[in-house]
Amino acid sequence: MVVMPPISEKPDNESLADRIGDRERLIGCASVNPTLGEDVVKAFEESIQRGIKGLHLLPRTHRYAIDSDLVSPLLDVAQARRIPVTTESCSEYCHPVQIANLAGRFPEVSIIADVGFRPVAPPVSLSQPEPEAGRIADQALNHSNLYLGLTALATAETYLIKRLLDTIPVDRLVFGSNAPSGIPLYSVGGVRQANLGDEAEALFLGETLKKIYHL
Amino acid sequence: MIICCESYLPDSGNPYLCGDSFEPSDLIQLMDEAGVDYALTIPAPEAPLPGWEPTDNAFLKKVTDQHPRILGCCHVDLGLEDQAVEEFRKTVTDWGFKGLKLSTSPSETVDKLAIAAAELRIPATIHTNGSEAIYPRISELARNNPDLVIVMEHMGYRYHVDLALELTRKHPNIYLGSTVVASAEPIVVLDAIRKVGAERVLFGSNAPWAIPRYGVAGIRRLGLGKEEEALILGENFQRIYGLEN
Repeated sequence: MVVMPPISEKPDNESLADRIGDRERLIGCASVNPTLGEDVVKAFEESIQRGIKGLHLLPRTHRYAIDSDLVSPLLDVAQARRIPVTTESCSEYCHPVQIANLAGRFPEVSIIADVGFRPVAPPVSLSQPEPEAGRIADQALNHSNLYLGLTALATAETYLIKRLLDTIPVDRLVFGSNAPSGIPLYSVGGVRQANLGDEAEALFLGETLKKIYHL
Repeated sequence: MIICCESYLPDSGNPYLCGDSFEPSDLIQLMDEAGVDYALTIPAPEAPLPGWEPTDNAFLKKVTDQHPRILGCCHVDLGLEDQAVEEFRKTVTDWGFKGLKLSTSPSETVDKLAIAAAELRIPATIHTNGSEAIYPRISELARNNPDLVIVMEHMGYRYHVDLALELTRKHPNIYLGSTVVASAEPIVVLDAIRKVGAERVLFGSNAPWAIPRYGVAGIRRLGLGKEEEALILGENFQRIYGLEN
């Protein structure tokens, strides 16, 4: 399970690493707020030394554009250290076109766009034209390093997983539970009820993330 | 008593959960799995799956006649303008529909629908998520129509819950529909209950798009007292929609 620290203005990645300790089933993912200055890059590198394996960006929460130069030093580190990046995906600060811009600038970095609950991400309104901000599934088609993290949708609207699969291959979708505020029992249950098939279910529930995190 | 404040009745349904076709009995089955007694149900005119016809109010009327546990919620095409308002009135006065699904479009027809709903004492269901741009419009509708009850579905989830809570505090005629949130992140519902009061939050499932039994289970694991849980799961709906008897 990829684990992030509680959301705050200054996420506490040190405590995250301490609390994970040597628990092999928990994979630490540092949340970093680049608006706090250059020191966060050094702190992020230090957290990697302590076993952190992922980078979590929260542009909507911390209020900066995901495709701005502000994030480049962090992405440079992620690229050099083969660290995957998870980002919020929303209509402000991190809409699909902006996330695609970042994916284009750092093609060697795996970027997981956490689509939350049915934002501009999936092709839900099939009869409507693609919005200016784009739809993340369409953007992912153009960027092989862009994945969709279906953290809330896995429970809440399982059918959208199948709908997304009309657009992109299953190995571009990543399961997330949002535990402990989300209930993993429900999200795994929702996925299993979707009858994706054994191979697709395995990819979605873990195999793809295993590859992204080099496990 | 458990009442869902937002479910749908598509023709194609959710082929991924319910088979290639979707019948009213499939919705009843989903309700039964979750112990839901009644479900405010909206036709599914938008985004039908390829190869399937959208459903409309007339279709829903036939279903509510056959299945009294399915309560009609009108959904109109704003492009029909005044005809849409007339259609809404007819669904309430002639067909017994209990709700109105209302758009946040800056449209005169929306304003007229809001006025009509207030007159008819019919609560309006408004979808929220995605863009923060819709909240000023919801606030305007609530302010201009103090007799109109507005249920903000999804309560701003995932990134605008703060805005939804702010509006709920500001306008006494706004309520929060926990649709989807109840199953996806129930703790968010608990936080809302603590901030605006249990009497302002309703349970919703979003069936068949979502799985009602997870929504009910999500509310039940919040550790609410019996009284608050009863309010969220059904009593608030009964009071707001005038179904006490």
